[in-house]
Amino acid sequence: MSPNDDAQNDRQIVDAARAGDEQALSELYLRYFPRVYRYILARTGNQYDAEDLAEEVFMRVLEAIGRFQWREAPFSAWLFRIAHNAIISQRRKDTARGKPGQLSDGHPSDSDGPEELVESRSVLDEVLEAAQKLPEAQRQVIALRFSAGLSVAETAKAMGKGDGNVKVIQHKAIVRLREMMGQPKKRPRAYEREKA
Amino acid sequence: MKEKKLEQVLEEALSAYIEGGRTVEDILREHAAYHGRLEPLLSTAIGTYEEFQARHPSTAAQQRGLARFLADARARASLRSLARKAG
Repeated sequence: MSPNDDAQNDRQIVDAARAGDEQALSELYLRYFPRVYRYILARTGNQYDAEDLAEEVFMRVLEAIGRFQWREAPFSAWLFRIAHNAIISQRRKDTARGKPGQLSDGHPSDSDGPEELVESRSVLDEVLEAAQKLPEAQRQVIALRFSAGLSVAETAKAMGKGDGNVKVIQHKAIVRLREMMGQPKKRPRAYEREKA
Repeated sequence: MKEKKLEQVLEEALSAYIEGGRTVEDILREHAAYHGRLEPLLSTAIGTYEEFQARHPSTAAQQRGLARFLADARARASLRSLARKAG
């Protein structure tokens, strides 16, 4: 599916969801829940917090979707602003309760076997730990672009920045991650990707 | 030919991988002039991307959230309907 097809599809689903169509609401949820989860995971480093907070984000979406305007931003940018604000609110609550920030407990993806889990958990922890040390804007770009899977244009809209600025921040973040983590311990699967 | 900024080349390479489904070898070949500087950054960027994309919320959390989401949507629709009738 091309990005244009994807955007058109998004529009149909979001418009139907705004009108209260239950199937569209389900589709919207299933399409975005994993991405919102990954975004929050990248920001908080905790899988369980990410699941709970992603659920809360979708409750906020229901409250606000009637006010969503297509002319202002793509739906994804609007949604991830809500997710960003939910994280900020949660941090304030945690700070008030004296709860420290946490890094990942590590958690399996459904497809990994036991040996991959051990290796994968440590690689994820390393990535999360390094990401937490980045300046706020770099962390935000990593979370939106690499974890939530937004394009540069969507990331720029979500952050209220220009595309060029996001590319610069992305480059700085990757350079910094490389410095902190060194060469990846395992060769990215991309190298084994078969040619079409 | 004017040299591109590395942030632009990195983004072109990432887009070709993430959205374009291209192989790393093809991408590096296409940006041969930047190979030495691009390869380590692309390796870290793709490694980070893949690490996150391999994470999924638990099925239980996803189902629980969906049920709550739809129940809340129904409740809101009922309230709207009642308000219309009352109004």
